[in-house]
Amino acid sequence: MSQTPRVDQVLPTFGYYDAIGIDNRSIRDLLRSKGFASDIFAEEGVMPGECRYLSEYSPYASKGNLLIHHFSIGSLVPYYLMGAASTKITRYHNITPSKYFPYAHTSLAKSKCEQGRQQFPLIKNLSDYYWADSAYNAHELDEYNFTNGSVLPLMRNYKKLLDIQPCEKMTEFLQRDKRKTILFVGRVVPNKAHHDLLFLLKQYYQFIGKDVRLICVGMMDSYYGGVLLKQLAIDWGLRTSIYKPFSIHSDVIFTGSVNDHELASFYQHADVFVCMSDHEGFCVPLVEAMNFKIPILAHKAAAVPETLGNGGLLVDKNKPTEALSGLVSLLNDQSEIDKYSTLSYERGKAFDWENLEKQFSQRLDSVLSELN
Amino acid sequence: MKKLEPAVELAVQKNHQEFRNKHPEFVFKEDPSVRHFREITSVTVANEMARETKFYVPVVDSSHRKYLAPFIIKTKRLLRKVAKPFLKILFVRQERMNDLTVSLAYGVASLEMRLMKIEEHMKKEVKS
Repeated sequence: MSQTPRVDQVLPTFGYYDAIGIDNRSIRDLLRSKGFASDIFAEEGVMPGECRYLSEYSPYASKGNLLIHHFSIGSLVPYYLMGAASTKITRYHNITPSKYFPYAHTSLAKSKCEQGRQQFPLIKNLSDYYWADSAYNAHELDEYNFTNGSVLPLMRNYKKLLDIQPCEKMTEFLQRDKRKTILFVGRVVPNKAHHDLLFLLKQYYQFIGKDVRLICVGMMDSYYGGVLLKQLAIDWGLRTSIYKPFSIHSDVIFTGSVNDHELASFYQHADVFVCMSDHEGFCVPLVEAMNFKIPILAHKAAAVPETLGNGGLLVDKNKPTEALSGLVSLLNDQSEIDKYSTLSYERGKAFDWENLEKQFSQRLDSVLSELN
Repeated sequence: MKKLEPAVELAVQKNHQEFRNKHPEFVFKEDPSVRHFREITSVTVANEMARETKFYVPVVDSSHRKYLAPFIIKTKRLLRKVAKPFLKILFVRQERMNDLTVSLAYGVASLEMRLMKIEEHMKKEVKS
């Protein structure tokens, strides 16, 4: 009987809480439960017990082992992989277009993203298979004639978030304000288009009423969020809280990074989840919102329509009236609220852990059968 | 989905246009050069690796070197240019001398062989 192969994962930077980090950990735990030896290796973000340094992978880089390379930014990792004899699977999470890094302090990220786009031919030569998060991502790879590919959604057990105890302090704060809550979860960076969220709120205040507030959860870019958005909010007369302590009277709250307990509180108190993102490779928060039965309103952009499916209201980016009328319906029309809550929850079932586990096992088995 | 009043729709459209015009910092434009990917060859990889791993190799360069080096190179080039006609004569002479040396060496070697053969012949005659 042949020896069970190792299935390891490599990536440039490991982030414990970011979407790719969650995907890494879910895949590793699943593989271990199936009896495979599995570890995560990264250039940066090494964490004892979670992620090992990339060079430690060398002893396992032999033929017969599998290696999943998470590709989302340009890095030195593909060059390391050139010397590895293992069968390589590229997991493509999409690379943010460099136009969303216009500031001086984001020039490093910009060059890394440009480098990533330039590394496509290299990755193509390196990898034996590819798994993309979404058909949108897979389509990008098809442009470069990648073969042996399939779509595997981002791996995460979303139900675990439902079991987390909400933060009491945050829940109390959210309950004190009786206004309805518009929620968005995602880093405060240009491609997530928080400026469009502010515009939508401004229009709502101007034409409909002042019975809503906007909560933006996620780490903030110092210039885009701290300077441009703040100035925009001041210009439009929106009261803003950036980081704790939040004011009860704020129209817009930028929470910064939050822990899982606080995140659960925000989801539990959200009346509508609005995503105005211009670029998403998958959009994990949408699926999180689905599991909390929150009605969703989103821009028709990148992989969002695919992830959202029929689980929410999709609006055209160039038609702001659509977004406003959708928001009005999802906040005030009870029949619409009920309808979209149900649709959202039903759509969330497509990303149930059992489903994802099954899809992952199928893809892994097909690779292993070809390997033998 | 509830439809907005026409007047509100018009106002929202107008506000949106104004917002786009007044705040160009929120309009992100595609950089066409980025979508143009170059072919990756072994040379490109080598160059890129050299660039990326530059920080591993400390560059040692004293301050006088960058000023002095161009001067030394230029002087060397000038000297070579000036000495070229003289060097040509020297090279021709050298070539002739090489020819002579080779033919002389051939003559010496063939003489030695002939002498060896005569020596062997004489030894046989003495024995008989």
